[in-house]
Amino acid sequence: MTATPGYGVTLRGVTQRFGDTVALDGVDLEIRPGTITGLLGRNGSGKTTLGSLVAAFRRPTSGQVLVDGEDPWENERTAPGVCLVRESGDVLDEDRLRDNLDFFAGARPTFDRAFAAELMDLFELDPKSKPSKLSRGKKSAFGITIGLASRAPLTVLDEVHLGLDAPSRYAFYDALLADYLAHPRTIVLSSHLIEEIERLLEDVVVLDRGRVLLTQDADSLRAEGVSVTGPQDAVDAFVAGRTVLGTQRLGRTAQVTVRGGLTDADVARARATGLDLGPVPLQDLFVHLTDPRRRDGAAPAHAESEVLP
Amino acid sequence: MFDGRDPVYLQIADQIRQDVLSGALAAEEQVMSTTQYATTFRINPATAAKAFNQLVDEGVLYKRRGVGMFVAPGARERLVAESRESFFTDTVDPVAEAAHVLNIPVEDVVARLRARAAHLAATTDTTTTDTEAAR
Amino acid sequence: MSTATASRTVATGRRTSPLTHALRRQLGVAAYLAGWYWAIALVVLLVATLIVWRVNGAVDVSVVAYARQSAIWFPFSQAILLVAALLRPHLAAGMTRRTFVRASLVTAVSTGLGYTLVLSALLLVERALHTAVGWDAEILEQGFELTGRDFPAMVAELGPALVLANLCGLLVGVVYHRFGGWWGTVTLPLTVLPIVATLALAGEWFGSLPALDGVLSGPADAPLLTGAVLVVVTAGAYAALTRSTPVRTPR
Repeated sequence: MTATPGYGVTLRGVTQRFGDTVALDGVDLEIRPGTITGLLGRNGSGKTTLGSLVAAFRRPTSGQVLVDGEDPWENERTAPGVCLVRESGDVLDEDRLRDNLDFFAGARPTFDRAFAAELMDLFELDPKSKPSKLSRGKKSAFGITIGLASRAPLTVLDEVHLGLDAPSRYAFYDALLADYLAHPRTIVLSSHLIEEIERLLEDVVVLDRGRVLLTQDADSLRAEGVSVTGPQDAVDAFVAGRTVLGTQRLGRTAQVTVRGGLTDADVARARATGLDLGPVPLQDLFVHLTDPRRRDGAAPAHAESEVLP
Repeated sequence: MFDGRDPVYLQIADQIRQDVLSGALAAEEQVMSTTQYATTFRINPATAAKAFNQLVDEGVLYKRRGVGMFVAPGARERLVAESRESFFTDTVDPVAEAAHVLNIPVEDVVARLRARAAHLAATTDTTTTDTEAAR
Repeated sequence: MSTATASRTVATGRRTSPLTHALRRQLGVAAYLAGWYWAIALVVLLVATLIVWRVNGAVDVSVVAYARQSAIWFPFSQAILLVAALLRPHLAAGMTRRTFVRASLVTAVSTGLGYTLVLSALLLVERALHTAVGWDAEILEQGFELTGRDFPAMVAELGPALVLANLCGLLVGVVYHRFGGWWGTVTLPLTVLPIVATLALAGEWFGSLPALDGVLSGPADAPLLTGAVLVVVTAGAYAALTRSTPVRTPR
């Protein structure tokens, strides 16, 4: 048992191949116990594979996976404490939701039946219906119900909220946050849609083509992206020597997204030369960082890539 | 509400500072807990906690163990003093620059400021006298 | 994380062990299906007996003996479905493959033995019925060595095949889960081999082959011994494949 609330995760040199495809390529990674961590990446970046390894759904081709300091594979101690919810929904398809809850509750010592009932009400799920008869949205909602009510020290929710409509998604965010506050644990939210979840995150891991692009706390990452808008020459002069993530030009006006925090002197200099500094939402930063035209994460200072807004 | 360039916790800290400055939060008054802040604004509690810790470091808030966070005595006066220092660089200078660009005579700007000040003094004279009394 | 005060997420102990929980679930399903199977089988046997009686005037053949094939292939398909429907949720619920293998082996063997006992009992009841009604005293139980023998002998003869049917079902199920539909189908001759071999050895299909005469006329416990070896081999293959299988995404 750990003193910290929730299980931490460590990956050392983890590679996962499927035939000729490399899903994860020498990944080193640390997920801090007790955090809500965002696992962000485009489709096919390796998010689901990473979740599968952590939950011992499969074994890596090479490298080491540690959950709460131990190999999770066939581990009787960590298994009841790790809950992976995939969008495909690994439930008893032909059993009523009520019977499904009995099955999952019986297998997990931390499962809270009363909380599960609350979530069923919240998502308007009928305990008498069967998973095979549910719509995509309701299926997702049932996966979330099991995931949250399991109260597992490590909960991995893999793109589960994508099937929900907007009101259900916000209900999910509120339920997640409230339950996390009452029962601190490690929660990994995997998604390629970041806008809605970014404020929930304490840490962020960005995967790109099977590699870790960055791992950082969300607040400092948010402070790193700055958009600089103004006359082309002034913008070019200001961003010289900085890491440029994307450039847009409209007539003589340029908007350049740069990475790296600005000092007070930078801000004063920008204002003096008539430049506007703006925030870059994590979603945009993510789009810039994982742009396939940016090879290996280090574009030249004056990359002329036209970035779609 | 949190959409400036700064990280969320800086914005939360700024907002609490503003509340203390405006008197919305009085000295010795309890502020929302990080938990309440996190659920109300749907943000990570660690982010909210960072904001509160920053304010504790600055002496705006103080912790009472097991009870919560409270506005420190004298916090408002300290914030007023700090804000006065940055008032001319942060607020007045951009006005002067904008007036210059738009070709607005300084006299017109000053006249406007006088008119506004007279209006404010007539409607909310209590806050200004409070500030004077505290100094 | 100043807000993280008390942790109630750490496991404090469980009421039931994972094995008990998995067993309860799997045996429950097996018992439920067995109830339906034998209820329907009884009706069919009764009706068939009545029809033969009306047509022939007497029943000189064991109708129950014909139920043997269905008592083999019904639990066989049930075991395939057990792996297909339950392995993913089992692992997703935070239990190990080890637990699944143990629970499913106990379920398969219990189901096989249970069906053996019921089938043997039915044969005895049928024989008693024949005697009571005054039909041919010596009824023909086709393809069986057990004509005229006692209950333990019947169980020993029927048992291996019925237990193996369940185990082969598990094996087929895990091969389908692990390697997909194409390989699952291609390897069927191999994965069903144990049950086919047992039936062959018992003289069910190739009883007249002179090559097998030696085996069949051997000591009474020879099929039992062969059956036991096949049970161990099949269970071992199933366990090895399941213990190392990744969880596949459906479809």
